[in-house]
Amino acid sequence: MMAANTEDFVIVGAQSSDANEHIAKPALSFWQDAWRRLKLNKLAVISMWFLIFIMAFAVVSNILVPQKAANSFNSDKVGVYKNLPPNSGLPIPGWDGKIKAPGDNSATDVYASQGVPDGKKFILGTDNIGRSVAKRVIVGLRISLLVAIVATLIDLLIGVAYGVFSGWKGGWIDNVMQRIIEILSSIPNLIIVTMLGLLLGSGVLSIILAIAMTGWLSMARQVRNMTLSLKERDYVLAAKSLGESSTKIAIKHLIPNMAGTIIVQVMMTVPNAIMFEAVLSAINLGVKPPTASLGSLIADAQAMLQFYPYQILIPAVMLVLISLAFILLGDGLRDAFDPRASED
Amino acid sequence: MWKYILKRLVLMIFTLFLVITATFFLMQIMPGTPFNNPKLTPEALAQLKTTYGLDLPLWQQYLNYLVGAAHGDFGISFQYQNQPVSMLIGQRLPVSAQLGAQALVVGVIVGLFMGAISARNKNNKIDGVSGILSTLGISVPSFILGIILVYLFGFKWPLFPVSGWGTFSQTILPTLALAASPAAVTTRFVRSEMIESLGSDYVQLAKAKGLSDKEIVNKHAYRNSMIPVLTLIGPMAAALLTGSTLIEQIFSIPGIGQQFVLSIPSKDFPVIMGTTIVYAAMLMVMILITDILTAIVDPRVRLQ
Repeated sequence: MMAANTEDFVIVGAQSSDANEHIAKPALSFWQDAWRRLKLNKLAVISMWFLIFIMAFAVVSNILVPQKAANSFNSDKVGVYKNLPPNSGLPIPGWDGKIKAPGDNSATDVYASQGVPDGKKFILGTDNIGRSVAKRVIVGLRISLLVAIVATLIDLLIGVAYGVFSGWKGGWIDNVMQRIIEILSSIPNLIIVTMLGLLLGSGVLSIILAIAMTGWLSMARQVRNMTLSLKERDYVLAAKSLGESSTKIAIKHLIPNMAGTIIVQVMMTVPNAIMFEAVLSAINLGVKPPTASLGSLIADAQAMLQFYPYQILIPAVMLVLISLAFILLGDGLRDAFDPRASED
Repeated sequence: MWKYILKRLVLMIFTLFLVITATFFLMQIMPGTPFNNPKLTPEALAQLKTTYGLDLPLWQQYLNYLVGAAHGDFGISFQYQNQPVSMLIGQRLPVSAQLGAQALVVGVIVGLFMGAISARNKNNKIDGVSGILSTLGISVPSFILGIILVYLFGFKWPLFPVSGWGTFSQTILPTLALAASPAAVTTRFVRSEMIESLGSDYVQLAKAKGLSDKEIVNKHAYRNSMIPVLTLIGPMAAALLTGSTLIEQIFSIPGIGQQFVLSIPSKDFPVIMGTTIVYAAMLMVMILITDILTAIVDPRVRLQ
């Protein structure tokens, strides 16, 4: 056996603990990591800022445009102020207070022909009784967002509680609770929303309740499935053997670990709620006039679509943009929370 | 398999029973009936109540309704007197079914194509465009799309009729408005399924044994990505039901959705109840068919 002469070898440092244990990147928590990945998705980030802006705007607008200012109109001057087209004050075609009647090629200056006082301009035009569309849309946006967000929060509470309970208990309780979900989800949402709308009458609160009653089903189902898999984990076993109560395990261990899924689900529920609000308005079960929501504005303007398309354009665009932003942000968050999905 | 179908059928009938019971009792507590008219004399009111069987005790009304509903008889409309609800619905059902089926077929076919094309062009411009279109398709509700289509192709460039039902050209705009959402959902779904298939072991094997790209895509990847699309049909049918009520109203299509919407302000409860039950039954049948088809086509789906 030849003894190795240690002097023939040079230590290059492969064994040194410094080189081995040096961490090239700072350790990131789950949320930091998700945030880092979300920032790479430009569309999701734009959507997020857009939604923050819209919500802040909706809150601030309470001071700028009170409900009364948007609802009131001068009944003596309806003839003067009604159905004025958008007027920016600048010579931009289609935004200069002139409108082309169908079948007519020359645009007429409606502001002049209806005798609107000089200097009075409506940047987004007026509706059929002379109220400013801009103000109506701002108020409508507020109501629609309120309805959607409150309904989603109720969904969140019911869905998470129901799902965790069902999954955690297991056995026949889970079985019964799942059958209930199955039965409820085989009834079209529209029917449930309409029935509750009919029962509770129109009004913001009843719309919120009607929408909330349908939205929690998919949340409950997803949370239940997550609970089933999470409750087998070792950390839950550890918590159990330390004598932690079930409620505490659910709040401290289960829910934080499925927060990603829950947030994504919330992002997908909001556009649905906004859409159902609009549907309710379209079938006369929406907010009571003179209150406006995006849905009721669309429904009201639909009759005169051929002549005054601008009255429908703005609320419709707002509704679509908000839904789009929630969906894009939801997609982005899903990829950010689940890196395997974004490798595609 | 048969046991599974039987079990599902039993659950379905039980659910329908619950739906009928729930609607019946909900209607009892609904505020405002057409009989609240103060101009009605007590005699006329009593006469009306006898006609509609409202003078019977509640449990008897309920039993009558249940037995009637089992035979497809949902009572007489409040609004159109002498018209049985089943007749009103029966006349309108084929129209709604045709509209829904057309939208579903168009949507799924477009979605299958677009999904496959974007998966094959993953992360390039074609995929990008299809991604934008499918995201828009999901976020634009069908009734807003319907309004846009009416404005563009009905008023601005009058290419298609915007109301009524009967000729093929009248079906084009409403079908397109309804088909957008299923098309978008299918596109997104097929794209991700297909990307998964293209990275799977059997595609690797197919490549290794020297199949051409075209053969791999057509014979292996595409076929396997199409199966899961079946699972989407149930949820899509539910979305179509909601969408079609408003679309029928916008395009003045004489379907059950329009009837439903018209019955709400007039509080025509027998019609509302009948439509509700028919809607629930339709959705349940669609979900059942979807589940059975999925089980038949894909043996990996374990039937419990």
